[in-house]
Amino acid sequence: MARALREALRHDYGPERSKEFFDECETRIAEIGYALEAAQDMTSREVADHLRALASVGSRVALLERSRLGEYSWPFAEAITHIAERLFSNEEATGPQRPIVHVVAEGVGYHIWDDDPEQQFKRRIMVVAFPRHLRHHVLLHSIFGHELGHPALKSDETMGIIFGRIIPLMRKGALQDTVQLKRWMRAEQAPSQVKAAVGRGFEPSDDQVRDWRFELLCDLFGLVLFGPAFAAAHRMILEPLTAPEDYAIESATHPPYRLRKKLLADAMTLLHWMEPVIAATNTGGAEAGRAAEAALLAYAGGDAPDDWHRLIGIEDLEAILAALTEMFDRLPGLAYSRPDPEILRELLDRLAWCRPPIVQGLDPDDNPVNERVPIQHCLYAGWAFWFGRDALEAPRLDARPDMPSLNFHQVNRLCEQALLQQRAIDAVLGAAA
Amino acid sequence: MPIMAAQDQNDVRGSARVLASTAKRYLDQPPVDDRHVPSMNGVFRLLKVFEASRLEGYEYQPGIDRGPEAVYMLPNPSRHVGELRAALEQALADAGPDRGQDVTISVIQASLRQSATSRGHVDEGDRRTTTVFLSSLLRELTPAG
Repeated sequence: MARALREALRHDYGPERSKEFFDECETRIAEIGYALEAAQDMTSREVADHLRALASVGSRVALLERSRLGEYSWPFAEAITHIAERLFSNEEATGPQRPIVHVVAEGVGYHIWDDDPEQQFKRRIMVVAFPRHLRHHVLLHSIFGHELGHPALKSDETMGIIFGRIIPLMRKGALQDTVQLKRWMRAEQAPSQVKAAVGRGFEPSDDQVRDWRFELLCDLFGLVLFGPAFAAAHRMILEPLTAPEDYAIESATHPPYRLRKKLLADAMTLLHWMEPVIAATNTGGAEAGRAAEAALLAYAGGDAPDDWHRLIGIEDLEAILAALTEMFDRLPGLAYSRPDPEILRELLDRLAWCRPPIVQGLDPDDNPVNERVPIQHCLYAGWAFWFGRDALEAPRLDARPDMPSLNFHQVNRLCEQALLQQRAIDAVLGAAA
Repeated sequence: MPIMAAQDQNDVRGSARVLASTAKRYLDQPPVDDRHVPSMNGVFRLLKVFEASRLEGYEYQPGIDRGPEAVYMLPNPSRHVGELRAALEQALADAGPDRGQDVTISVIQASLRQSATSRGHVDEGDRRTTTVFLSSLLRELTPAG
């Protein structure tokens, strides 16, 4: 294993963080070596225990080799790393410690692997996997908001509020227990497919009720963290995978998509996010910007299914959102807040002219004018542009017919480039402060 | 199902046994370097998560459809987190029969922190409590026979 770890160093990885990942793996291998040296007359069970521990380190070493630059969006990966380091720093026996966030490109989906708490480590390793085939689709990467909810279940900053306040609020109504869930499945308003599943003898399990609570919690976590961009990515990724009549309640660890859509729609309304931030005026292209926002918000939070799909009551949901907001308030600047309308208009205008959505320029005295644009606002602008592109691009297409309309991939690439440029802007602003 | 899954690779009881036995050994015989830190830290974190959630969040492992390139990461569904929770409950009761569970956890965490940051030097009373806890945890996690 130690040789495999050393050989893994031949590959091209991102700067800085590979070394700490390597060091931590080396520590874990050494720890197993010490244990084997000290152990005498091991039983076969103890041999098996140590082999499992070694296999666990082996999976991390294998992932080191999948972290080549160029196979994932590293500006977005930097943003995820920044969020994870702030959210998931833990009190360890030696004091506060931030996790090692290791980014890899995988073949299929979005995922975060987290160390289990009964393992031995100096520093927690979190492996963030991007789907290789969507490497530049930063607008879709907003779905990582959901994945970040899972390690929150094991992190000091978050687990107190989650288990002390939020989960008790989710143990109500249909999600109270299997009896209530089954009663809800049999309700008069339930879709015929759900009733049919119950008729075939389907019995929800305690694990399923628990899993649904956690998955819905992660959806809300992602929404509060990334804002409407998360809800748009959620719909664009998940809705095409689910036929309208498909409820799939029998095999799911995740609630059927339409239940999740209803939850996000309710939450966006409660958070007062369904109204565009750009005011309804007709000056300076505001109308097109407002219409683009409205189209995004209608996509992200609209078309909600009927009330049978509501698994969490409005009052409880309001309290859950308040608890999540309070949790993020402890880490200022991390969660989504509504963008400034003037800055949003500038971001949309730059996208209309095929430029990355950042704010940079010169004032009348030739002094640089730069703005800190949070990643959530960049993504919000990208999504709004996509849904309102016809009106937003019209002036440019008139002036420059040689520059054709942007496709979805190109909008993503511009937003990805903006994240990269924003890092430089933030560094300049940080140095000047 | 991959062949290694037959070996119950994802059974948390195995790694918890390794953790408890290593921590106990280092508590009994403090090393001259800091090689004991990962095991002290492991027990410390396990108790933190247990205290906050009774391992409820840990019990749930989100499923995901993976491609063949990720076959070695496929989790085994039988993780036995419930057994680990029961073992922790019993071990804490054994370590602090006259105290509340929260107090016992605080005492053990203090001793682990002390051991991790001071080359193994731990208050003798706290060490005794922690040793009883780790011994009981090992016993509870080891199937009879």
